[in-house]
Amino acid sequence: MDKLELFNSLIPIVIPVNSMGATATSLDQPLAETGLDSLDLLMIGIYLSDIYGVEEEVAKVMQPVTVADMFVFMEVHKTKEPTNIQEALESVK
Amino acid sequence: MNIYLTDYRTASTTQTEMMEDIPYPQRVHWFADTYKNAQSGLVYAPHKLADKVLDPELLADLRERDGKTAFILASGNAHFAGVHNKTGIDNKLTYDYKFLALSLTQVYAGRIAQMCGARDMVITDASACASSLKVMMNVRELFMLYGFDRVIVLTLEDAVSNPVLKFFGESKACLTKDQEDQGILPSAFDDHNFGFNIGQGAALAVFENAKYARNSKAQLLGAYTAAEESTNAIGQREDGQGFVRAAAGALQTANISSSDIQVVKTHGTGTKSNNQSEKAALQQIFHREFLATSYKQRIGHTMGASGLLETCLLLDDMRNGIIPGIPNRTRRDEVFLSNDLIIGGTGHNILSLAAGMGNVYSAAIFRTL
Repeated sequence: MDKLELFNSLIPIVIPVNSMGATATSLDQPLAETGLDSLDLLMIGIYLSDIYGVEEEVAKVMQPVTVADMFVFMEVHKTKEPTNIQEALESVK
Repeated sequence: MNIYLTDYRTASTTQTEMMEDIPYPQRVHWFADTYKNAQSGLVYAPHKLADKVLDPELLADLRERDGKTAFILASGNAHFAGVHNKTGIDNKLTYDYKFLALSLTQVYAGRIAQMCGARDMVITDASACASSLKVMMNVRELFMLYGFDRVIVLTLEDAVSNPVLKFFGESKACLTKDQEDQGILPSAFDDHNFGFNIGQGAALAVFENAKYARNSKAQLLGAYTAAEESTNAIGQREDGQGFVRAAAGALQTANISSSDIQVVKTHGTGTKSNNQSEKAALQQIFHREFLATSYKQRIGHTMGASGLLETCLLLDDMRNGIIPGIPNRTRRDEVFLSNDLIIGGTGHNILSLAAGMGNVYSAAIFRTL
């Protein structure tokens, strides 16, 4: 599954009207440069935790700097893995 | 100064569903999709309701406009800050939202203001069922005292929630299944039918001054909010003095008299106390015949959203050439419409009224364009 595509697919769910044009251009991109604010990133973190079956209490210690850091954290703590992006998004819409 | 209502979006429904698995079974007007996936804790029903009026194209257009812009979130009353799930009831309306910070009104308002390009002022209001009309007074102040060019108002209330349905059902403030089984239908200012069902509703309205207004839908002539010494906990006096004070203030700020008003959009809950209070007030305000309608019997009581939302619906109806009658009236009179009335042209003045728990009375006057 394309992790960058999944990340960007969560943005319009978190902010339905993306006035700042926030987007991630690569997995190595610092989150601070995506145009997402701290609340947006908190929501994306919790959405990803839900998608990967990471307990909320565990997810709270995540301190990602880049987009990739979020997915590394998910890989370490996941209890499930979606087979495709459509399935992943369906659970959080 | 002329203030124009240049654009709006509304969300309400005439469709109803009987909610059986709640302490006081009752019919509601709601969008079931606003609760889809809510139990995951990732979806907040009031925000999903707001999304129905946050038209991306309109918001993108607003962001492109220059001028000093304010944003007001008139959110009614109780559903923000996670109080919706504190009843102990376990049903499809029960959920525990994970992002408490985003359910705080001011945080949410700030995010939506950013989406609208409103960078100069963010205001929230929670004046219960008067909220969205109450802020019309703030709209006028921002234009007239502080030089704003544009004020964007988002109003919403997800009244279809366990605490609201329980509170209103328990206090018999809304119609329940028991009453429906006895043949009572929602209506207002009637001797037999009365009351309302609870509903979800939202509206997004854009007000602009003459410099920026294009294709205006209406003009906001005046607005006022008042309080009065009340005789019951809700704050409604039998003599309707709260409504009278609010309407008098709105007429004064509009610099017109009651004889210039063609139609009244009543608060019109149809409860015994409101029927008595609002009817007494209208008789004092008008000294002559007038036409009055109510929308709560069509779309439910959308609480904080109701005043402005219902006004926008009336503007739509009048543009289509009608003033809708109040449903289910068993008597006819020349004041409270029982049937749709055909009306033509523009330039009609509307007096909109709202009352909120806690003794808040609001009135606003609009002219159709």
